[in-house]
Amino acid sequence: MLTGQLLALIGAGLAVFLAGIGSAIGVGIVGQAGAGVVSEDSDKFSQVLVLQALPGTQGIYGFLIGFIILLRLNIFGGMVNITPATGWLFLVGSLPVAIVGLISAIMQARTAASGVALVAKKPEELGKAITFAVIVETYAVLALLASFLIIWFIPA
Amino acid sequence: MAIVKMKKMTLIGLEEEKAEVLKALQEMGSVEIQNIGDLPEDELELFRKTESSNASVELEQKLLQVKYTLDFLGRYNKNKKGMLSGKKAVTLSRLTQVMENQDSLLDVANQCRKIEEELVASRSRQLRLQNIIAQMEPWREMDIPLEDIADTEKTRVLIGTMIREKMNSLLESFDEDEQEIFVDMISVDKEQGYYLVIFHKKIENTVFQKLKDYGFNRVTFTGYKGTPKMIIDQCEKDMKLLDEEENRIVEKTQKLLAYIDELEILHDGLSIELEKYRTMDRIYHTGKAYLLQGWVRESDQKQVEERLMRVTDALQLSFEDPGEDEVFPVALENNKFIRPFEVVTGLYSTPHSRGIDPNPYMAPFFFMFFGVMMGDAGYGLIMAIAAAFFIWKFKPKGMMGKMGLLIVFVGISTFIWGVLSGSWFGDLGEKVAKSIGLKTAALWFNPMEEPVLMLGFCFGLGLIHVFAGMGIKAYMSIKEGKVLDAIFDQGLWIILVVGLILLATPVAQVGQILAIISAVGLVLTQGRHKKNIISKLLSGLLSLYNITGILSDVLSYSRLFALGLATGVIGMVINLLASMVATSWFGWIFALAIMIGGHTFNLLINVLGAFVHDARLQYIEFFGKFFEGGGHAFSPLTIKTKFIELV
Repeated sequence: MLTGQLLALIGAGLAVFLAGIGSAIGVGIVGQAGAGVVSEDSDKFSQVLVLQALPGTQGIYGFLIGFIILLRLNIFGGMVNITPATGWLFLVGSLPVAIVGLISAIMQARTAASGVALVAKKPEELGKAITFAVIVETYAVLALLASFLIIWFIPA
Repeated sequence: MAIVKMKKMTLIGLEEEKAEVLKALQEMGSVEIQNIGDLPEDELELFRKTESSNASVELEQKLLQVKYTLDFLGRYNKNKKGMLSGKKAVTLSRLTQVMENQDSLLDVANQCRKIEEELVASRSRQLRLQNIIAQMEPWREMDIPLEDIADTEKTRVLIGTMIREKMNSLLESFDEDEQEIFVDMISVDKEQGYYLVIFHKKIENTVFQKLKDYGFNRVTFTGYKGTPKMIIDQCEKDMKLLDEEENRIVEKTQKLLAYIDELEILHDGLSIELEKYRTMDRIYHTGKAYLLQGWVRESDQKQVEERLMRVTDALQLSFEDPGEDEVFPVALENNKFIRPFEVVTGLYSTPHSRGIDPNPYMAPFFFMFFGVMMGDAGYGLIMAIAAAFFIWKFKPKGMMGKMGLLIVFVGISTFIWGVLSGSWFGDLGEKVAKSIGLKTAALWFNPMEEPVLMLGFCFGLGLIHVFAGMGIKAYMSIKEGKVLDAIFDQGLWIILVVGLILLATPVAQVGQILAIISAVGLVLTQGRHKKNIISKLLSGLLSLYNITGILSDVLSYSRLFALGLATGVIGMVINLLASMVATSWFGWIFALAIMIGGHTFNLLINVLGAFVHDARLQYIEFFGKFFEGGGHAFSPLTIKTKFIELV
């Protein structure tokens, strides 16, 4: 039985877990690269840590959208009833952050891992390494915004 | 402009006074000594490059030894100082004393090396013993001394391993009555059995063949005496002795820990010397005299002159302005509000010496954007107070000092925006405000409730930022005398964008006129560097496409809203979780823990996020319009220390 609530909850789940998977893979990739560098020079820990944290944000964005869906469903104070059509809208609204979050986190992690290699050779170039990675994140931010606007303005 | 004016200093002096002059320069810390590359031919014949001196190589080796010793002792030092504890104050006479005493300190390094060798030897012996124990363990229950496992007159005796089931089938294949083979299973692990096998010599051919077929691995121990159990016991006893020995060796380091203080002073003393000698390698000389070139701030010129004259008067000293195209080291000078923001630009690139210092223009935007992205009054207060405490307590210098002050500033900005948008630790402020009957905690508006207004506000900020970047570029062009470039390349674009925006307002008519005039202007002027009239017009027409660039620049500022949203919503989640467990007095304690842990996490992750995204907006959207980097930061010969502070 696919009720509206169920569809909306699937949407919330997708946002949390797809973006979360992306971030988990992402911080993993950068962490591995970073551990190699730190084994050579432990003073670079803080610089590498900053780079590792960057692909972690997509998971947060996904969680955020998931939570807002839960808020809109008023799940903490007895769920509201919504039609299947509205449920579909929530599901669709969660997709930008879910899909873009998943992919952008992994791509950003690759950029950041290369950034780790850059910092290993030239510690003074940390700013540039961060900038490369943050440019990838732009699209996750845009997706977050798109998801938020859709979900916020769905009439329930 | 806030790029400091530099003077080129040329100094010729007597070789025998060189060390003293350099020492004075180092103490002053205001002259960068440069490699001399472009001496006129006739002078080059006179002067030659100093060969890399043995002194600097020797110093480098000593420094390495001291570093090694500090690192080694650090591993055994239980009462380490915290990472942030400041440098210790050391007087010059103490430093000199330690430097004179360096031989006995370098002896500590030798002692450490010996200790480490002993440790390594002891550890490798332990490893060997562990191996023997592991080998013997499966045979522990075999009560025969290993040297006795040998053939007798009529039988063969051997030990080995084999898969258990296979041994069973092997035994079944022998006639039970004959009793000419005896097998004892000593022990068994997951799949393998450890066997003692005895059989009569007259069947040895069949048995050997069968053992081979069934996969028997013969084990031989040579050089051991006694039963496996005895050997294991002996090894374990030896291990204990080795453990004690290791403790005794480590104990020796404890006596050496007392030298750490002096070693740290020596480390810095040697570094200072090394810096000086490395610089000396950059100086030309004739044998009797030396030639040195460097850069000094215009404002420091007098001071340097006076100081050097006090050292000696046998000097030929001259200062000149850098040549028209000469690139000079870049030092920035800004007032104390702008200075912390130099960190942001520094992470990107040092401005070019003929360029412009972007910090005064970038700072207000960085300040404001950070506040909007972080956007929580509670977090802002914590940031500002924590960073202010950090500065007060540790008095950090250089980069750390600037960073601390920067966090104080952006913390204030975060506080301001948090008050305007009514965000105090997520929605905590809002809840409190509602419970005391206020409609909202926001002084202006709550972005969560009016997201479209918020988005518009962010785009507005972005437009101002982008225009400011273009404005600076225009200003630079005008200063270079290219007024038309400024009008065509920046002015027309600004008018076009303003016109397009006005189309959506009541004064659409005005907007229309502005847009059309500027668009026509762009078509006519953007191809002005092309040769023939057709490609002039064509590239003019194509240039209109660049409007998408401005559009995407402005859209990029939606991150201001998105990141603010992230801070707010996660704060809300934390508060919600806390309120869900706060049902009893025990729950309240739990809720408090959730609040503290959760908000700390949210604060840290979002400070990082806000910082990198804010920096990105400056680097890409703002600096992209006008900034020319690639300068070389001014790095004068100075006293650089890691552990001590000279007083």
